Amino acid sequence: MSLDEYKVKYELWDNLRQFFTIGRNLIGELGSAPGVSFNGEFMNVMVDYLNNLYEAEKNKTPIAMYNFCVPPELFYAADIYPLCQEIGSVALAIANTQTHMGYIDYAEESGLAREQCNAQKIWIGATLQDKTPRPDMMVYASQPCDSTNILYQVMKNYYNIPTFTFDIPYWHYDEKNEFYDERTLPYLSGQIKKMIAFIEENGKTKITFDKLKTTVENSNKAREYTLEFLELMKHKPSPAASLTPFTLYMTLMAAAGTSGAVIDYAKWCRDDAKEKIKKGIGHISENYRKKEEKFRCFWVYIPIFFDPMIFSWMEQKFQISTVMDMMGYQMAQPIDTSSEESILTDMAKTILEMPMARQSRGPMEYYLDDVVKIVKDYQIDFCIWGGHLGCKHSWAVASMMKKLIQERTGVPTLVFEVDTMDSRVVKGKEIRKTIQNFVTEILQ
Amino acid sequence: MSIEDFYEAIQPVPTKYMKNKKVIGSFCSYTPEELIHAAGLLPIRMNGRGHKETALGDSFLSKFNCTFCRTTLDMILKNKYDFLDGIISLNSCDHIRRTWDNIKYEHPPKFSHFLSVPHHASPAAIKWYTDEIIKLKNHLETSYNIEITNERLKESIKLFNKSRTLLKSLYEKRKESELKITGTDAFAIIIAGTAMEKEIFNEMLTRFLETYDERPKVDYDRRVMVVGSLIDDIEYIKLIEDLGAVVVTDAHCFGSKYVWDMVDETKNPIEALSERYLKKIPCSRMIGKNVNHDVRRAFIKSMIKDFYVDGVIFESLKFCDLQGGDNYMMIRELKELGVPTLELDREYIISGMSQMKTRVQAFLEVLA
Repeated sequence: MSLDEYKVKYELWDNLRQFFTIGRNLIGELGSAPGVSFNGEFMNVMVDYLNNLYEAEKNKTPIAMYNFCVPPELFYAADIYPLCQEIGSVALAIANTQTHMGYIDYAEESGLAREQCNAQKIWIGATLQDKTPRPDMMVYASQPCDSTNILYQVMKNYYNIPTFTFDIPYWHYDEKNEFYDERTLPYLSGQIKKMIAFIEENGKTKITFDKLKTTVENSNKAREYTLEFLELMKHKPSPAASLTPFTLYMTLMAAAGTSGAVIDYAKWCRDDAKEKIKKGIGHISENYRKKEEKFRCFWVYIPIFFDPMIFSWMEQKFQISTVMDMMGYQMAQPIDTSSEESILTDMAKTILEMPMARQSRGPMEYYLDDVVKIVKDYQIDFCIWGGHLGCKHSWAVASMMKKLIQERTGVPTLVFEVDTMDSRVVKGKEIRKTIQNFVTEILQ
Repeated sequence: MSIEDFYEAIQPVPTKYMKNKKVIGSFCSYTPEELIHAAGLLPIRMNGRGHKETALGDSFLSKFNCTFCRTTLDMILKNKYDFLDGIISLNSCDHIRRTWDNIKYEHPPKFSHFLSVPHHASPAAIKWYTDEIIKLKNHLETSYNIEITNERLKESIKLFNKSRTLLKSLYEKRKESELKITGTDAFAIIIAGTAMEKEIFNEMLTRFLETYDERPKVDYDRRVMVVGSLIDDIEYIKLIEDLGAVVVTDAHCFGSKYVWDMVDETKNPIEALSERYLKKIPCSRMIGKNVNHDVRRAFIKSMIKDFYVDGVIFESLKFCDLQGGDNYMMIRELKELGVPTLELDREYIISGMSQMKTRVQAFLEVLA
């Protein structure tokens, strides 16, 4: 396929298809590249997901845009194409084709502030130039941050399409009690019922219980494998490449509820990790000659999207396995499919447990407890907090968290500034230097 | 009643008006102040007026957080708010809720409470906030050994509604072409209402309104509206008015968004509070069907019409995503309607005044 053949309709989406399709074909020819998390199975899920948008348009299937804190299962159950905006923005930053920076510039030239999050500005910049697919409806949640909240209002205002919003309650912290209080679940499951009515009405479709059950059973399979895999990541040395948890998160965000590639990928991750543990080999020793895992890192915040190779650089140069990252840390459990009520209640839990949303939409203690638990469970030697400039809520507790993580676990945390989607703010080279100094001076 | 009396109430905290009662600070206009009043306490809005530093606040927050939060946290950590008996915080925005996380660990007040405010105003959301208000009520009752009866609460609601009515009549007078109050003085009065006992404030404002017609006429050449998030410093309004315009109205959380809507005195008082606070002219954090950008736009458009506004100045605290995004939409929409607009980014602690002055001057020239 020539490059021009990828250019079908929407520059942003076409670029993503090109990146993932070429990447998949390349990996297919070369086998898995050392240290690269983006293996063929992962690429399959992404390519399918991206291609399906064009299929949906061809078949006149309604398209629903949603933010990454809304699970896609209900759209799949309604035969609606779920267009996750952040996959478009973030994956384009991962592809690092430079076009995404043009979109950021365009959004800022139109009047959006520099400090607004690029996870939405990329899409907005492209949309203003007619380079994105147009959804028929939109669903978004008030979590995890103000930027999401207001920039989805900007998109709603631009598209002028039917929109459903979730109000995610702020949770009161009680260390003695469950994560969910008695009010939160019914409040949220009530909203899910309304969302179902909304998509049925605007998608001119019907979600039957059987369809919902089948969809959820699919997503349960993928989630079960994912959770098993995350357990295996506790093993020392780490059986999988850094960022694998993040890739699983991405695939669930796009395709949870479908059969096929998303389940295959999660199963492959689980089986591969299991096999390595059985054979007594770790990811680093397998991929980098005569090297063994030396340190285990928890990436406290979102990965550096524009330079994901930083993680394999850390593996190669310092034998550091980033065994967990915040986006990859899945807490949502498989959904009880015994009744419609149980599905809705558990789906409400899934929304509350969404990576990043879980840590961001309540008091700092939830975040801190998660970090402390991860540090202990995954035998972490240090944490790295690449604080994304758009995330003001996170920056506001970075200093306090660093102190408390040290106090409660004895583990140091490196904190630095970065725009995870715009390499012009802090370059990958500078980040590497910062990590190198930290590793050299603090740990060796 | 002289306007200077109101100015005394907006001096750096604690003012002389904060000496007679136990004082509870709150961070946002979504706090049901009536309940605090019914507990025999004085509710005031947290502010950093007169404070000129953020260094200590900065060491906990970051340079990406708004300077209102950095200033108030700095003051709290430097014991300048130790005269407070307690603080109530909310999930108003990312900056405020996370500032609260820092306060809890570093300088916990004697009484503290966090309100989970929905982003919707649906029946379910109103029920949610009703429960939150009940929790606050119980917490106040246990902490201060007082019973907040429905009667007491109804009395407080009546008092606060009276305050809103008086303030709205002040706004009404600013619709007229012959003005007898500047925007600066009007704003000083409104802010004073967030920093003193409502009983005294209502009395002062009643007397002021009675003598309003005797005041000298204000000279001005253009009528301006100020839209934004958190603005509680009259210097910004004064800057605009020193250049010959008059600020006739506003849409921000220390102004009309604080004043506008009444609590229904015929309903169960707690439910009525929940309904009023969620359904009031919405802050840009709100995304519900009946409380969203469309409602804010309609409100601003009606203000422009009713107050004969020539141009709108949008102010936004740097790093305020919510207001920044809302301003972005509103400016485009007003431009389409042919309403001249100016957007001013600012820091909470006054800085860059000469640059701001130049921009406002150029804007006023456009209006001319």
